[in-house]
Amino acid sequence: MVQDEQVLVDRISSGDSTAVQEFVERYKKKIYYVAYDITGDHDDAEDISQEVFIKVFRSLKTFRRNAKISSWLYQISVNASIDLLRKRSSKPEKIMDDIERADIQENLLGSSTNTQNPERNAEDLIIQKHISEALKKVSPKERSVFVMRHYNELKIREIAEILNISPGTVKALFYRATRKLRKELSFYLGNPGLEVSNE
Amino acid sequence: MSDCKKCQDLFCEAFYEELDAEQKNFLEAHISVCEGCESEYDEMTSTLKLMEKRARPEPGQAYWNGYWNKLKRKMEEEKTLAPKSESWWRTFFRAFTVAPKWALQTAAAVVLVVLGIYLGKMIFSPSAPELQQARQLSTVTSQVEQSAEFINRAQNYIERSKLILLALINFDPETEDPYVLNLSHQQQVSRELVSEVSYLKRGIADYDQRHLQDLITDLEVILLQIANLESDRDFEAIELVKKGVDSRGILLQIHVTDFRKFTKIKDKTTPSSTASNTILNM
Repeated sequence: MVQDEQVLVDRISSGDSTAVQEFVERYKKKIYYVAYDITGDHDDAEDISQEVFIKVFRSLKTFRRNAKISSWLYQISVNASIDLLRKRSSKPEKIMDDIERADIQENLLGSSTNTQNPERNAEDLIIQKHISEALKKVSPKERSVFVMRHYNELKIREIAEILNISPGTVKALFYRATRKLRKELSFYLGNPGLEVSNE
Repeated sequence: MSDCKKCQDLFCEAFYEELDAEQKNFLEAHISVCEGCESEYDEMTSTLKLMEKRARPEPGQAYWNGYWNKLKRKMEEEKTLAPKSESWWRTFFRAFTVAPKWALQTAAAVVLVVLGIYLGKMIFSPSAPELQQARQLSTVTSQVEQSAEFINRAQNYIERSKLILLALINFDPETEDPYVLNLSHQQQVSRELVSEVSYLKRGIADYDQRHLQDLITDLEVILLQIANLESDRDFEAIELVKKGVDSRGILLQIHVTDFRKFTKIKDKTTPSSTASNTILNM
């Protein structure tokens, strides 16, 4: 465990309430975003992230001192998100999240004022929607690996530790997820007019 | 591991520029000569670039500012609920939510079967007093059946004995041929009747019928005398039997018994049964 992490954990264990808040402030976004990237839903991500913290504070005494606490937090969060997706696999998909919709609209309006190119922004909006849908077509485990790697910048080794699998398996899952996404989004990848750029 | 496999194994890190110099050189050298791997790498790169277009919605600063307070409230709620020990019925119903479907179905089937057996016993089985009554009725019925059998045999014994005695008493050796008496037949019947006496006496002892016991004993003596007659020409012996019947008043006793119709047996065997009354009041 990193030195400052260990100090923080010790303060929490000794009943320091400011340390608890400090801990939450430090990790809340990481936990929320990984849960959001896997579930694709703001409410689910909020519930999962808060449950993760409650769970962690409840069992902090059992935490292995030599482990990385952020990995432990990710582990709980990813497992909770995968469980939720598996439970919901038979239920119809939720309509686009309110925050997501509002954010996209805001982005659209903001971008249109900035770039003065509403057609391009409408096009981005559609692509974003299709990307979200394509991600939902990938299995929960593949999706978890992909989002941790691509959107949360976790290393192969870290993902392997979080999911308790080998680095080779992480690479295979990432590769498989990418191929599935390519298949789902082949329309954009094969269309020269919508060629992807890093603009 | 082939070069292609080794190369593809590096894609995942190549895109994020995490390869060391040696790995990077190997990848570049391989894809410059392998069209398959080059194509695969390009496709993967373009897909990952496209995926970067995904805009992750940002909940906003207000949301993050209120996050801690929301979590704190939740933790306090948890703390308030935690010390309370869960009630037994909550634990019981929690088991239903956790248990697999097949286990619940099996449990439901078992409950239904047990309930069915219980209700069946409650509705269709007789209660304890009814059972006792049924047992009493069964005992009385058995007694009635036994007494009816005894009565039939006793009546039969007396009737047959009466016929033999009447034949013997009405026989007049001076005017009638001994052939008419058919003594050998009377003797045969007498022996048969004597063989029944022991059974009848036991029955009488059970029912405490003194007069009937006397009658059967007297008849036994007379029937034995008849059975032991040496010849139908032994008129003297026949006359002695006649006198015996007369002196003992056997025919009178038979008439009295017919009149009584075993009323004392009825009193003994019918403490509570109407069925037995019907039979014994014959």
